[in-house]
Amino acid sequence: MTILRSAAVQRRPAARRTARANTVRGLLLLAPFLVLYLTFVGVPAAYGVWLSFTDSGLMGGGLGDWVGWGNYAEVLSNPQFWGSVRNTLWFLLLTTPPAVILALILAVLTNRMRRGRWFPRVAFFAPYVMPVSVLALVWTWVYSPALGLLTNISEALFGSSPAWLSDPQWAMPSIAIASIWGSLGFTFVLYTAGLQEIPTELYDAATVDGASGWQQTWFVTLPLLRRTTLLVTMLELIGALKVFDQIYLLTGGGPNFATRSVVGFIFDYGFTSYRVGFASAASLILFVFVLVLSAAWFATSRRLSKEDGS
Amino acid sequence: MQRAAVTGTGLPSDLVTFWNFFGGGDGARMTEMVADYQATYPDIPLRSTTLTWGNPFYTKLALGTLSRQPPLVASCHVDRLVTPVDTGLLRPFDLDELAEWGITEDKFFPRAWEASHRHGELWAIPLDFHPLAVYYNKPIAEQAGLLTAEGTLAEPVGTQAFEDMLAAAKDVMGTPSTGFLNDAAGHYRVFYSLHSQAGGEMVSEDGRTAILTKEVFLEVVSWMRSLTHEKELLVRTIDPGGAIANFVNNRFAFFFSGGWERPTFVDAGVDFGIHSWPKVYDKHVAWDGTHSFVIPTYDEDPARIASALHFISGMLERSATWVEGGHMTTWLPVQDDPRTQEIQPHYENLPVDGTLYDPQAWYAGSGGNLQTVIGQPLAACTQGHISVEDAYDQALAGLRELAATEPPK
Repeated sequence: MTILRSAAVQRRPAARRTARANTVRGLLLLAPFLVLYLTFVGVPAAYGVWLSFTDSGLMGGGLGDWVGWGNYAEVLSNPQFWGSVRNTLWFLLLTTPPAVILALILAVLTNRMRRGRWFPRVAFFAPYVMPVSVLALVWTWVYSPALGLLTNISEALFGSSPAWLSDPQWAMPSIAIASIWGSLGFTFVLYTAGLQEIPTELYDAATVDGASGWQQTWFVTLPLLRRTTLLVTMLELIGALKVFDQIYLLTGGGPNFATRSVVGFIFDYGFTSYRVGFASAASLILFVFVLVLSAAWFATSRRLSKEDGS
Repeated sequence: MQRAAVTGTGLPSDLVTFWNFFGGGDGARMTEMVADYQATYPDIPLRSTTLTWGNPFYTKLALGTLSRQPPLVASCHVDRLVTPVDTGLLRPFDLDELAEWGITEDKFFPRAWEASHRHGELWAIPLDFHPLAVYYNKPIAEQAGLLTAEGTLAEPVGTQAFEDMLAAAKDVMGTPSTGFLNDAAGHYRVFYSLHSQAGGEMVSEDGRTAILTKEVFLEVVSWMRSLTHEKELLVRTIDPGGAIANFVNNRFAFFFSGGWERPTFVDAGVDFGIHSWPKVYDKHVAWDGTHSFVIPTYDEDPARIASALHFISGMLERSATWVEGGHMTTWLPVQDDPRTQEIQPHYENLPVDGTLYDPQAWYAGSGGNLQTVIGQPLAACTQGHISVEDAYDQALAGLRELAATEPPK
């Protein structure tokens, strides 16, 4: 006993030493990443939190005066901010469900093709490769009043055309269509990968059991794609909440602020009005929004898939 | 140059860095001027950088100056001087120092020279001015009987004459002959011109109180809206790119903008003229803007300043090239040169009662907030999405928020 215990006592520091050495080695290996991450993400984020409690501007150096929760109160009582929240949620509704459903349908259909699958795959993925600036240029011309492709088609079919980007009612749906077109490829690829992971034996068994093609999709494919669906929905959701680039390029937040997203609001106040403190507060409010929404979505879908799994 | 001759010192040898925002048709002209300057003075190390126009440019200029890496010379809209001047980002020009380089007040278009001042000091050397104008397609205007004997546009005086002009062109073409550009700036420029012509005011002199004269606003905007609606003389909406394309393809008889689209139309071979925005209401004034050169704050080194002034005077001397870009040069030695006068088509006339710069407020100026808060509801109104009253309420609310916000620091 005594011998054993003493041996154990002797071994413990050695084990601890090894563990410590491992930790040090691990940290050393992580160091390059950690240094970069802290420099370019950690420190700026912390600085942003600090800024949000000051009235700092962009034109002078250093920090402004401490204003406590003043900026937060001002953001939350600013009707323009709530307008941009509404716009962002509207964009989310217009893009996330259609993008996910459309990508799923296209992936399933393409997966069933016997020949020439590469063509739809390339065709659907191609827009995703384009930079947003190119997407915006293309769609500006598609939607252009009097000259645009869609305007001309609509005039030929219905005798008139909505002012796609300059009508406050149509601008957001028009941006949503362009956005879905641009991002569909990525979701499509994720679904295609998900489909290829489903073992063919399951379909064989389903066929033996007499399941129709439709039933196979419904009872085999869709349940097995649940994890992919969860992932792409999360990605689409977060992407929609922080939408900025295509809107900035297509409408600049107009017409009459009908397409100004929360990030657009932050940009306008931070870089046009030079109110960095105020804009930082708005960013942190958006951050909390995104966090709460994503957490809620994640919790709900996890519970759903657990219930289904049992 | 003169200085070198006077003092016998060699030409400045510091690196001349020049930041500008000229990316459009005028960008090519600026590149040409800079290249010509470089060719004349091959020993001067010169680096010219073109950055994105508007707010990104001013943000970058501010951050560059704060981090002590400013360019030697930068371009600047004079209606954007308020913030950089008040936050100490710019170095004022010394008149005696300028005189050594032959840059004196009497050689400048007075209104632009005056607009380059703030708090009694000169902060910018104006290069050009470009008031709001009506571009017109000559063959269409001729067919519609809108030209004078000299072949220029007959000035439509008053709302009725302006409507008659649009109606005559519409009769020739069968469709509305143009539209207000549906971006905020396009609407803002027309509105600011008309509102001021009719005696309206937007903000108090110090920019801290919103005024926006209600009766004038309602009158002017109701008229603008009647052109796109009841009278159907203008298309309800057209984006700047679409309007340019339509003008190029002879599908529009008119195009409302500053002179800077000239190169596009010249290159496209359109037969056109440029007429200053006409007198629709009581006073003949029109929106105007000026590009200028500024020196960001940095070490006060005489050699650096000499390099900067040498470059600026070199650009002024080459501003005939700039005139081709559709601007009027402020530099009278070039403006009055017969060779400059030969650059046609160009502005046929100037507003008789003067040109209008934006109010001196931190939120005013090219690409600034003022254009947005006024222009956005206006565009929505002329397109028929909101009423004139609602447009007024929204514009006033936006203007009040800006006026009440502390200037940036």
